[in-house]
Amino acid sequence: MHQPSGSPERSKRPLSSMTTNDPRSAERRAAFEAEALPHLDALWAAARRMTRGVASAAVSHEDLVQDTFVRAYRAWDTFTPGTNCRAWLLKILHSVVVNRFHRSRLEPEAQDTEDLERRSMEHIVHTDWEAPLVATADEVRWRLTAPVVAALEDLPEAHRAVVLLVDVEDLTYEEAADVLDCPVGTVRSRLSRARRHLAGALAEHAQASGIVEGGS
Amino acid sequence: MTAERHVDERIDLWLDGLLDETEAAEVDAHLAECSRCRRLARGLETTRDALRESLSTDPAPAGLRANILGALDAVDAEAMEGSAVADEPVAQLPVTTDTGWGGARLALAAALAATLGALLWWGIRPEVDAPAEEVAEHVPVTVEEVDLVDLIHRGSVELAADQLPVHVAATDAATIEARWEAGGVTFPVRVLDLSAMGVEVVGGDAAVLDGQVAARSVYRDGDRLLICWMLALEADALGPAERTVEHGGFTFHVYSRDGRTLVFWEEGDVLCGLVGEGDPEAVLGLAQAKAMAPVVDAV
Repeated sequence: MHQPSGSPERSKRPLSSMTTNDPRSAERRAAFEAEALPHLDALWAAARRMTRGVASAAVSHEDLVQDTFVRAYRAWDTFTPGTNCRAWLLKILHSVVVNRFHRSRLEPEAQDTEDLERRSMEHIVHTDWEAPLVATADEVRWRLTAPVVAALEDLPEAHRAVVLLVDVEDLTYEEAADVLDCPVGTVRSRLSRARRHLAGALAEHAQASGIVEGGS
Repeated sequence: MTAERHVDERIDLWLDGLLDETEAAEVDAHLAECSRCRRLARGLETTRDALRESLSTDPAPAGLRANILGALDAVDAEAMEGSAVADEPVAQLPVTTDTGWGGARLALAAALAATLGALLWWGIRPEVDAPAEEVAEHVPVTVEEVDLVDLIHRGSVELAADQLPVHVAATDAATIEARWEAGGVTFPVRVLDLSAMGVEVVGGDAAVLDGQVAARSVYRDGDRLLICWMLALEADALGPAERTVEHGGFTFHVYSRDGRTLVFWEEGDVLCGLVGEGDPEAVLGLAQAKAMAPVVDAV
């Protein structure tokens, strides 16, 4: 019978006896709990985004996140205090997902990207974002949330990954490059393309639905 | 004005605050005069804001933190006992001091190399150099036998939160069925109409259970959510039911898990399941009604 992550085997020795005997371990454990565990909600959300929410229930999102924290704890001595702990955890989560999810290699689809980018740019620069037809800029953003998610799903995996890490997870270009194990220049070019694709799709939707006007 | 005289090449860096003062001032000055570039900047900014707002910020489920702490206890116990046995064969993660954030870099070679092969997720093949003896096939979960009913129960519990994630929430059949198609559902299923019983469709997506793609739809019945599952399987795949009920030419297989009732039945080659809390007979009644219900026309 599958042993869900909801009921892991617990140590038979209470933690207090361990801390009494090994103050350095207790200190290490306390430091990890203080610095890494506060990022639990962020890792949970990232795990769902990374898997497009379609996790195998045999390898649930809970499993992915728990595995990430266990690996992080084992490797805690390699983390440099003062650096971005969340980015460090995201890199571990990325490797956990790749390793446990067994996704097939996903390459950006071969498309006429130059033509697509040109069309995206046309939509973007011919949309009057500054004078929306709805009352406020907040309403513009609110009404664009569903189409932006749909446009995100259309992106090639590599581009989707970069825009999520930089624009949603707020990683720097260098941190995103480290998570994805690719050059910073690759992050920049993919980010630029991803943003224009998303903005172009939103511009089309915004004009078609009357949220904003098209401009000359 | 040509692209070079616009600021296309620098607008992303400007947006991210990565230009130096001089370049930022140049871009600012150009934007003040060029409506085209102003629209580009505003479009990219609006899109980024919409993206940030759109994605789920659901907190981690209750209990996950406790489970993680329990797992850390196990790691501490191993260390205290000097045991080299790990619950998973993860090699030590080496530290390098080359470039990377903060001067330290985490190399995740050992757990990745051998099992990756053609595996990829983000679309980028990770470059890993792992000593061969440290490479081990990752065994993620000890699965002696897959209990499909348990998997479906867990996949239902994760949706029974206060608010459906944005990628699940939907009230129109076309959106849900498009998600099914995009998620790899190839068997014939439709969103069913339970409105006559006061039950409204509130969401749906595709899920994967032990490698099997499932179409999932979510209904609201008053205060509770009902999760409907559809898979290309036979009821034999479920294991023995706690009871079976014959009704209207269908055989309903009834299970219970943690206060929830799970009712399954076959419709042709598709195994359907309905998962709900509360009165088991009410869930069974809805399942029976669902088996006879008409489909919702996709608009």
